[in-house]
This record gives sequence, C-alpha cells and structure tokens, in this order.
Amino acid sequence: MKGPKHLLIAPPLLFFFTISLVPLVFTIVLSLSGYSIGGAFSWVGVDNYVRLASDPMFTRSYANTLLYVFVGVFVQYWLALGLALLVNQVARGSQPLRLLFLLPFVMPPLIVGFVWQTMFDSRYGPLSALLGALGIGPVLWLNEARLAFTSILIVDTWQWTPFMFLILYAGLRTLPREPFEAARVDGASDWRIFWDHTFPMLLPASIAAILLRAIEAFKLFDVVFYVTGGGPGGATSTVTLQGYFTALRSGNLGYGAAMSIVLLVTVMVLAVVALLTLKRLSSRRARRVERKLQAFAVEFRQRAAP
Amino acid sequence: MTHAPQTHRAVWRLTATALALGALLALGACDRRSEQPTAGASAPAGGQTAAQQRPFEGQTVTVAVGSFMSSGVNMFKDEWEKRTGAKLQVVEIPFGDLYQRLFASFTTGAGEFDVAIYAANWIPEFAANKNILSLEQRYAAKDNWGDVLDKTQRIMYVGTERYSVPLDGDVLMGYYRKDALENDAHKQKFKAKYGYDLAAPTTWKQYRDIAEFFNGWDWTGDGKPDFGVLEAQGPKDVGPFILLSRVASYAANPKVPGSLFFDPETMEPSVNNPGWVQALQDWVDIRKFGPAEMATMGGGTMRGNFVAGNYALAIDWADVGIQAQDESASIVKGKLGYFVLPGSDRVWNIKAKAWDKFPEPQRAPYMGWGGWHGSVAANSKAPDAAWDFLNFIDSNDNALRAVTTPGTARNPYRKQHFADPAKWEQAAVKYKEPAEYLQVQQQSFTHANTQYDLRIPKAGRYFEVLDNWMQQALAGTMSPKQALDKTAEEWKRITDEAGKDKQLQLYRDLYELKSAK
Amino acid sequence: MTQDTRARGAAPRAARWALLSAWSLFAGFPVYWMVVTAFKQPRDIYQGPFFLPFVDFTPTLRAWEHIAGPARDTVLHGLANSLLFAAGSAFIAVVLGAFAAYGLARYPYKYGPYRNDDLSLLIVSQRIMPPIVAVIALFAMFRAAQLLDTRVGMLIAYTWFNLPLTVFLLTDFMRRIPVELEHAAALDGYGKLAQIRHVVLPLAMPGLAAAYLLSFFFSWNDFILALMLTFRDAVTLPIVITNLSAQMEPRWWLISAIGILAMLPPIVAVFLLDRFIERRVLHAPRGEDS
Repeated sequence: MKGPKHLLIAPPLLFFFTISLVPLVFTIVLSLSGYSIGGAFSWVGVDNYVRLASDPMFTRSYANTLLYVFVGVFVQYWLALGLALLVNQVARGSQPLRLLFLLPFVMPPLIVGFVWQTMFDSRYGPLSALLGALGIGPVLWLNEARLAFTSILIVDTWQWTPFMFLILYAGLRTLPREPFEAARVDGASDWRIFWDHTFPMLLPASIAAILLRAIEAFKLFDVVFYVTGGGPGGATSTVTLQGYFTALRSGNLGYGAAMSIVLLVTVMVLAVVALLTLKRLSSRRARRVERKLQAFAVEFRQRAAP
Repeated sequence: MTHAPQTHRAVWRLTATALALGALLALGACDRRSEQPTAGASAPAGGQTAAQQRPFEGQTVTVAVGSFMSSGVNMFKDEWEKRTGAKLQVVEIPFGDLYQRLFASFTTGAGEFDVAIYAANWIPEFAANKNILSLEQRYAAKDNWGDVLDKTQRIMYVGTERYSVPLDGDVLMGYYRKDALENDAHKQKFKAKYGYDLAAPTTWKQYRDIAEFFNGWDWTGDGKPDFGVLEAQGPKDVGPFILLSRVASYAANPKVPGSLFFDPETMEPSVNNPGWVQALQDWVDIRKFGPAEMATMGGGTMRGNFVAGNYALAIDWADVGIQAQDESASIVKGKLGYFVLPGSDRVWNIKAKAWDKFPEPQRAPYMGWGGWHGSVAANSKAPDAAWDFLNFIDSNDNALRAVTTPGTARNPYRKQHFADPAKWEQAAVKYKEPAEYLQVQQQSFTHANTQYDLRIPKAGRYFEVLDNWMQQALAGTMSPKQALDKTAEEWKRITDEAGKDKQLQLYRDLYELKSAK
Repeated sequence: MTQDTRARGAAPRAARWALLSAWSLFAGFPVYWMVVTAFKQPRDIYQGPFFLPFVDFTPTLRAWEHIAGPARDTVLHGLANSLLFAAGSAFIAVVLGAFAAYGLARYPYKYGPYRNDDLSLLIVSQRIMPPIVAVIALFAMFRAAQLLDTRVGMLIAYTWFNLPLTVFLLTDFMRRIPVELEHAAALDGYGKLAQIRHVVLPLAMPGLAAAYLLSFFFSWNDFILALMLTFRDAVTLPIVITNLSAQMEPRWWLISAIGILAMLPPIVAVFLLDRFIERRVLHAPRGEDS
C-alpha cells in the first residue's frame, strides 16, 4: 500500500516540476531585470518592485483587484448558495433551470464584453431603455469611475456566480438526505436545518468554492478588458490587465513580470492565512460533522447489509 | 450498489463518445485542408511545359498576417497558387497581440512563417534584430516602385535598404456630414452665432465650433437628438493617433523639422510643450460635443457607430469612408464630405520657446501607424516564393483591386490609386462620389508638412505611456499639463533605457537630418 | 403535520419561483441579446435597442451565410480543435486529479517538510500566477520540445492548466466520503481497486462531473495559451473569434453567430453530465437493495 500512494500523487507533482517551475523561475528572474522587448538584459534588483509601490496606476490596479475579490466573491458566494439551495428544492424540471444558470459562464469572454457594453450604452442599450421607461435619466454606466467599477462587478457576478453555483450544487447533492429528514421529522424549522446541518456539512465545498473563485478573481482580466479597457482613467483596471499591457503590448517584460510576482505573493499569503484561520474555526464544526457522517455511515452499512 | 457498474459504464461511454467525436471533427477539418494542395496543383492540367509558368511548384509559403488585413491576403490566394504551383497558408493573428506573437517567434527562431504582414512602424526594429530579410537587391527587379507615394517610400528604408513591400498607406483625415454642414438653414444660424461661414473646418477652433453647434439637437429630423462629433477616445486603442492628429498642427513646426516628438538635437521629449498641451486641452474639451460613450470607443467601434448614427464630424483613417459605402452597416452613404486635418495659425517653436504665428493656418497631416507592410522572415525556407507573393499582391492591378474592396484594410498608397475616381465607383466598394475622398487623402500624403509617425525602437512603449496619462486627462483626474509632464518624465526614462545616443541617431534618420555632431 | 408542511410550502414556493425567475432573467437576457444580434444588420446593432425580430428589426441570415460559406473551414477547424482540447484535457485532468485527490484524502504524505495540505497548496498555487509573462517561457519550452502548434502539445498544456483545479476540488469531495464505507467493503472481501470502483467513484460522481465541466469550460474559453502556443494547426475557437473582432470594424453579427455555435458544445457537455451531478447516490431507500 505504500508504493501506489506515491504513484497517485506523482502526475500533478510531475506537471508542476516540468511545466510550472521553469516559467515561474523565468518570471522571477525577469522581474529582477530591466528587460524589455528589443532591449538588452540588465539586472536592476528590486528596482521594479520599488517603482511599483510608487506607481499610482499600479496601486490603483492593486486596490481595485483586492476590492473586486473581496466584494465580488462575498456577493457571489451568497448568491450562488441561495441559488443552489433553491434549485435543490425544485422537485422536477430543474434541469433547464440549471442549464440556463450555467450559460453566463460558457459565453466567450469577448462576447460577454460586447454584449454588456451594448447593454450599458446610454443611447441604444436595453438597460437605458428600461431605466428610461422608469423615468431614470441617462446613466453613464461606463463613464464615471465608481459607476464603472460597479458595472464591472455586475458583469463579473453575472459571469462567475454559476461557477460557485456548480460546485455548491454538486456539494449539496453529495450530502446524505437522512439527517435532514430526521431533523425535519423532529420539527426543526427550515432555518435551523440550514444552519445546523446544511451549512456545516457544506462547509468543505464552500471553502473549496470560495478559494478557487478567489484565485480566479485575483486574475480578473477578461471582463475589464472587453468592457471598459481599464477605464475611465484606470478606474477599473486590475493587476493582470495592467500586467498584460505592460508586458505584452508594450513589451516591458521586466516591469510586467514584477506585477505578476506581486500578485502571486499576495494571493499565496492570503491563501495561507485564510486556510489557517478556517482550519481553526471549522475544527469544532468539522468534528460535529464528522460525528454525524460517521453515524450515518454506520446506519448505511447496517441497512445495506444482507 | 447496483448503481455503480452502470455509472461506470456510462462514464466510459460518454467520454469515449466525446473523444471520438472530437477526433472525427478534427480529422474532418484536417482532410479538408489537405485537399487543397492537390486541387491547386492539378488545376492547370492543360498547361504542360509550364515549368517557367509555375516556378515554385511544391513549395509552401506561410503568411502570418494581422487580423485586420487577412481578407486583403486571402482574396489573392487561389490566383497566386494557380500561377506559381506553390501552396499558400494564411495564418491570422489577432491584431492586438500581433506584435508580441511575432516577437516570440522571431526571438526563438521558431520559423513558423515565411512572410509577416504587420505595421510599418515595426520595420526598423525587426530589421535591426535581423529578423527580416533586406529586400534591397530584389527591388531592382520590381517594376512599379516609382508609383508608390514618396512619403510611403521613405518610411520603408532602414538606412539605405528596404525591408518590406508596401501594401497600404495610412494617413488621418476628417469627415463631415453634408446634410449638416451644407444645409442653408444651418449655415444661417451658424453664421449668426459664430460670425463666419459654415464650411469644412480649416482650424481646430472651427472644428470645435462646428461640433458645439451640432451637438444635442435633432438636425436630421428623425426625432432623436444628434451629436456634434465622434472620435475614438477609448483606452488601449487608437487614442494616441487621434490625439496626434491635433498635436501635429500645434507642435510640428515647419521651421524646426523633426521636433514633433523629440528635440532633434538633444532627444528631449516635446510631449509636454505648450503645443502638445493645447492639443490635449482641445481634445478634452471636445468630449462634451459627442456622446459620453466616446470615452470608451476604440477605432472599430467608432467607425461602426459613426456610419450608423448621426454625428457631424469625425477623425479617422480612410476606413470610415469605405465603411460608409456598405448600406447594411451605414446610413450615411453619399452624405459624407472630407477634409484634410485642420491646422492652427500658431505653432510652438521649441527653439524659440514661443509660439510662431502664421497668417494662414498651418496644417500637418499625420501618417499615423504607417500602414501594413509585408516582409520576408530571415529564416524562411522559401524566400523567393515569399517575395513573389508579396509582389503579386502589390502588383498594379491587385493593389488597386485591394484598396477598392471593403474589409481589406488596405488604403491607397500608389499614385494611380488616386488617379481615377471612376474606378472606385465601379469596384467592389461602389464608392459614391469618391473624388473628394481621394483628393483629400492625396493632399494629406503630399503636403509639405506631412508628419511621419514615431518609428524608433520602443515606439509602442512611448505610446502606451502617452495613452495612460492622456486617459487621466480625459477622465478629468488631472490637467493636460500635469498628464503630459508625467508622460515626458517617463519618456525620458524610456529613452535612457534604450540608449539616448542610439535613439537620437535613429530619430534623426527618420527625418533625414544629418548625424548630430 | 402534512397540512402544516403544505401550508408552509405555498408562500415559500411562490417566493422561490420569484427569486429563481429573477435570476433567470438576469442570467438569460444577455444571452438572448447575443442570439438576437446574430440576426441583425450591422447598422441595427449600433442603433436601437431592438429586441424582437420582425417587430423591431428585420432579421437577416447574412452572418450565417458567411459562416457556412467563406468562414466555414476556419470556424470548423477552430471548433474541432477546441472540442478535442477541452473534452480531452478535462477527461485526463479529472482522471489524474481523482487519483491524486484520493491519495491526498486518504494517505499521509511527507516529502521533506511538505505534508498533505502543503502539497495541496503547492498544486493549486499553479493557478494563481497569471500567465502573462510565464507564457513566453512556455513558448520557448514548447518550441524546444517541438510541441508548438501541435494537438498533443495543447492537450498537455490544457491538462496542466486544469489539473490543479481538479485535484483541489476533488480532494475535498473525496474527503467527505466516510472511510468506513471502504473499510466495510474491504471486510466484504473487495480489493482496493474494487473498493474505489464500487464505493468511492459513485459517491464522488457529482464532484467528478463538476470538475470535468469546469475544466472543460476553462479550456474552452482560454485565449492566452492558445494565442502563444498555437499558430495554424492547433488554432482554437477563441482565436477565431478574436480575429473576427480585431478588424477595421468589429463584425458583431458574425461574432454573435459564432458565439452561439461556441456555446453549443459546453451546453451539450452540461446536458450530458447533468445526470451525474443530479443523482443522489448517498441515498438508500429502505429495504430496496442490498
């Protein structure tokens, strides 16, 4: 039993060491250099990082990114959870619903940008037609800094809630039904059932969903690129967006690499902190869940026994 | 536990089907592609002893082209293949990412293509890195070189050698709506308000007045308010070129040639001089005379909007004109007037550090972006065939055909393209009343003070920096002066990084100034 | 009791449907907008808003004619490649990921100072750094291995891309399967492999299906890897779509039409895999089977 276990974990580790490591080292090395396309290689040490700290456009992108992640993931999680619970309660005919809910996530990002740009257009967008019918004057969704930021959040929520919905719904379907039925028979209210049973049992899936979503959210690029291009005046820009333009569009690879590393370090630190905190917080609840699952497993075994 | 085996089988079946389907489709598409060479090669079966007619039999030329111009290449593929017996593979690369894709391929010697079709502005850089072949020797055999516009000829030289075949000419121009500016009632009101006759603007002040006059009311009678102007002010797109259309007239002083971007003696950036500041101020002010969405528009979006809506004025390359002829996209066919980029009666002089006043408005048409050119990759295995192809699509007939076909992104660059408006009316584009359109372009190309674009290494970065800061000015978070001061700071740093002396030398080359002492 | 639950059910049920409808509208309207745009004339796209064909605007099949005509080869080529890469790499990523997840969930690992959770974090960290600069290194690596613009190369690339996601997601699902069930099966005489087939896999099915779908979606819409690592043979749909938009004037009607096509395979995938997510396996009706 010892041998096979190493074999199990070998492929991902292999991929890591053969494919991920070189680009990572490459990026780190570049970030310490002043290399740009068509230029000569030169070591500048931490100069790029120092410059990033005092670069108003970068600090703005960085702040925007953090805001997008914390606000966005928070809103999307509760929305996705609510939707997963609601859909779970639908007895029949939930398939077309689930299909519809997943559509935003599969729409090509370029088209997402175009469609929402049109939707937000104050001259011929459906949204402005609707608002106009309600008597609300022309809203310049993409032209004013804070409105534009909100608009991006709206599009991001539209696009990514399905991601968490899928994970949470699958998680819900994995939960055994018996403890819930037992609780209901005992007269517990829906609310109690949710907080005492569903939510704790869904915690591992929730954590996975939130972590994965947050990792993707930190890389927010598509929506901003295609809807506002980072504007107005950099109000909606993100680290990845700025990194893309710096490194690939204008060829300033060293500076762009530094941005990537800053993002990497930020997320790693946050991930470690978050996981440690969660571990401590959920250990109590986890033990309760463990006990429940064990009890259920015993019962299941008994019933399935010939 | 009876579910398990079923589930298991279902999973296998499912994925097997998916993979099989995918493989089949892939094969299907594959087969289609491999059919082509046989079709091309066997077609002229009647032409035996055709060795000299089919000189490149069996060779393959791969063309990497930016997505804008792909149809301008594809339209000649079959013909050329039949003529030469070679196979042509056209690979389209998304325009925005063309530069870094070419760069990655060049620097690693990947040898993915024989021909690259890209922006003329990048020629010096690729030539310096020996990524593309010098075509100077081959030009001896080219018979229609003399017909290329002078200024377009000039930008193809790196030192004394030519590295590309010209396929396109780029210059910015102005458009106006005839139903707005040539209407008598409008003319009367305008004269009453501003004190001079309403006509195509010759200065930016007039441009502004006209934009203001036509903004916010219904001058088309369709029940919806119309706008004064539409320009592509969006980020990360063609903004800098549109800004430069204004800057050139305020900062490209004919008395100090080559001072538009830098001081040609010291390489000091001109970017924050009062000429530039005035231009940016103008551009910020114009925002209120167009739709708010103008601030997010890239070039393509602007074109689509302009021809489908009601805007009195616009600045663009020659593309708006072509787009306007397509009635499924445009409601302005036959309604457009044209003008050379407006000028200014005062131009900043960097030597005198003062404004020079001129009795006539000084114009400075701006050859933004340089145009599409084709080069042969240094590690191409079929350079002769590659050169042949490029020449083929630049032949007199084919060039004319290409520039008069919509969607090819090829704009006129040879004298004969301007010679006969009737050809434009009859060609695929069915241009309605092209005479003025052609005239304005030709004037822009041949004007004494026509300005080249910035083509020194790191031009992309200089422009990106400019774009970032000018967006701040447009968004109102800082004044134009502040934005341009910041731009100048960064431009200095970029110059230093690239090597000040080297940049200075290359910059002077652009304007044919003798070497600095 | 039953009366109570029914009465309790009515109002919440109406509320439930109201909420679901609201979200359906929000989720679905932009998709509808895309579908409708595929049938519009270019100038109708820049005017409007026009919502209903034949009522607001005259629909046209121009976009579809172009797709079936001049653009057919390019679109089919991109579609076929995307399908192969997405379906194939998702499958491999889920299989490899499931094995690794099982290992991480069941066995203690210790490589130097790294234990299970550290390994998990290491694996998922591959998804954190945006590949904007790294992709150039990938380009060089793939070129050295002669995998540039090859189907095999792209399968490897997308598997690498998705593996961290599947491992991380599935570890969690695997952990939640009570190990007692496997012990019980072992007592019944099942070998390890059989235990996995009969106990673990069915119980993890919703997770496996979810992981497959997500991997499929991520590969399907990826742009940056496709841009750098493909050139001609292995070109994918997002490149084709971007090329259509990076024109003198973006051809939104064409792009929307291809967008509709581009959404079909993922929808089919969701449809096919739905029953695996839907099925509640941990549900033993009384006295039904043994």
